[in-house]
Amino acid sequence: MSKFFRTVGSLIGIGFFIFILTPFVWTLYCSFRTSGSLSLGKFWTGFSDLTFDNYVSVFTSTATNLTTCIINSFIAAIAVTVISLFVALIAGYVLTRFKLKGSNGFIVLFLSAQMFPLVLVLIPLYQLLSTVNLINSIPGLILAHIVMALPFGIWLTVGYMNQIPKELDEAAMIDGLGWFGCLMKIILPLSLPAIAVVAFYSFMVSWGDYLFASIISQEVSSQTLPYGIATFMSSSTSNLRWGSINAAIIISVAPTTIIFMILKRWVIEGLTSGAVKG
Amino acid sequence: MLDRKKNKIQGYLLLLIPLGLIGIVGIYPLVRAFFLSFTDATLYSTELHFLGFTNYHKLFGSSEFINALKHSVLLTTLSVLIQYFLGLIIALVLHHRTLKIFNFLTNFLMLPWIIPVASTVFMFNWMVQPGFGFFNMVFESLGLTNLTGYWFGNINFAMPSIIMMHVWRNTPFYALVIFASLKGIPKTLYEASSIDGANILQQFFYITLPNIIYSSAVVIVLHVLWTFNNFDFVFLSTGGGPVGKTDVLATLIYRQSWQYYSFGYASALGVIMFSIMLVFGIFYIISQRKELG
Repeated sequence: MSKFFRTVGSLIGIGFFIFILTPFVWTLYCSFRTSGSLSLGKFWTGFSDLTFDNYVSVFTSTATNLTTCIINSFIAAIAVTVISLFVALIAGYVLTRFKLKGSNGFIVLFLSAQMFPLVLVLIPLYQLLSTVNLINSIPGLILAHIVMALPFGIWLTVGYMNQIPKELDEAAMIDGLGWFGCLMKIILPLSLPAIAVVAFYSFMVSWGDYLFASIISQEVSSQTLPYGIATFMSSSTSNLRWGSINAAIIISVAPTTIIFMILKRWVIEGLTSGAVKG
Repeated sequence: MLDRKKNKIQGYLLLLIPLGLIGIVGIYPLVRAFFLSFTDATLYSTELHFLGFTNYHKLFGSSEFINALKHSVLLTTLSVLIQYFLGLIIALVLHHRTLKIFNFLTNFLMLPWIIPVASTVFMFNWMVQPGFGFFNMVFESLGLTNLTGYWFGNINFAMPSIIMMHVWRNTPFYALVIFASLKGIPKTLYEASSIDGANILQQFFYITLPNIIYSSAVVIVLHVLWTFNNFDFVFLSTGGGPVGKTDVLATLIYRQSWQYYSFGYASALGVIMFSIMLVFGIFYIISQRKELG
């Protein structure tokens, strides 16, 4: 590539990464500064204004219930992950191995469920959950999150298991293994990358949801973190608490970031695979 | 192997698990919403009255709907265009490794995409605070005081701020997808063409572009759907304001259903939104079905 293009490209690249990283770095930095020093509008106000208090206050303050929110978010996200993963693996296995009539139709059905407008789905879903008394409950929220996580999960497992040679499990079956043994002993071990992506995606979707949580789990006992922080930010005392708000934001960003860093290669491959093949 | 009759029955039974779940939380609500859109349903109504197309009549005559539709289309178009071109440039830069540091920075490329959209809005909300927000501090120290103020509450800055957050979150995804498909182009194509005297632009248009066109199309369609569907970005930053300047279909429907509790009318709006998305959705399904064979 010519020198001109390299230079311009490098400059745009550098600018882009600064743009991407600034909010993280700034929020992380501010989460360790006192609210008093933040309100001064200065980039640096001395070492004496650095503190861990913001994180302590997120967990101890009686003015908010962010600790409950964090626990609720974890419970919901882990449950959604386990359920979606289990169901997606079964769906992937059945749709790629049991040569059923209409398999392709089911796949298209699951695929199209990815693009239902969620604000529309929420209305009847709310009615449904309230008739079975699951409004303001974590199980209700978990059910709702499954509609966001599962279609993509199924789509991924189907795509992945299609690439595992069918001869492998056919050979195992000739040796007397049943379908369940095949799934557990042959398909699962080979599907670990897909499992990682489905699990990560499900966790991410549930952990990050604001729309459903803002209607289905408004009550304090069942609130999740995004809703909790939004309420915290709009409360009248929020101007005095920017330090704690920043700490809460960092806590809301941390779990998916850490899990992603561990599973990075698989997740990126899985997420981009649908678009890259072709 | 698994095509004996007994196995087939087992297969269908197993399929009931995913079908049942998606059916209950996805398909049933969607069908029910279609039904509600022809009724006068509210949060409180115990019995529904059939209204025919009244809700649809009402929405096509409503300036709120036209306003929200306009903003949805504008937001989607501008975000996706900027994201695509920026993502393409970043992918090319990463592919050609113009600087060593990019190898390291690529580790952090996906961070904006994997964190909650709500957290993104909270971070930017913090940075656009008047007086002590990061952007305001930077522009003030540069003497650009006409760029300071609370962007989410400013008629001229609200929509650009929302687009900026979309670009921040989604561009990395485009970059990674295009980056991955650039890797798949055989180097010999470039070598052969440069022997034939092709310049860098000719190589781009005749070799690079045709090879990334498929992944570009998929990633664009995916994000058109995503942006059109997205609620959190607009609701949490501006709430559709100031004076409806950033109101999109998702926030309008949310307001109609959860502030005015008019489920019937909100459902009609949602059905229109779904119909628009379906056009792009069909493209997406066709592109993906090819993969399944």
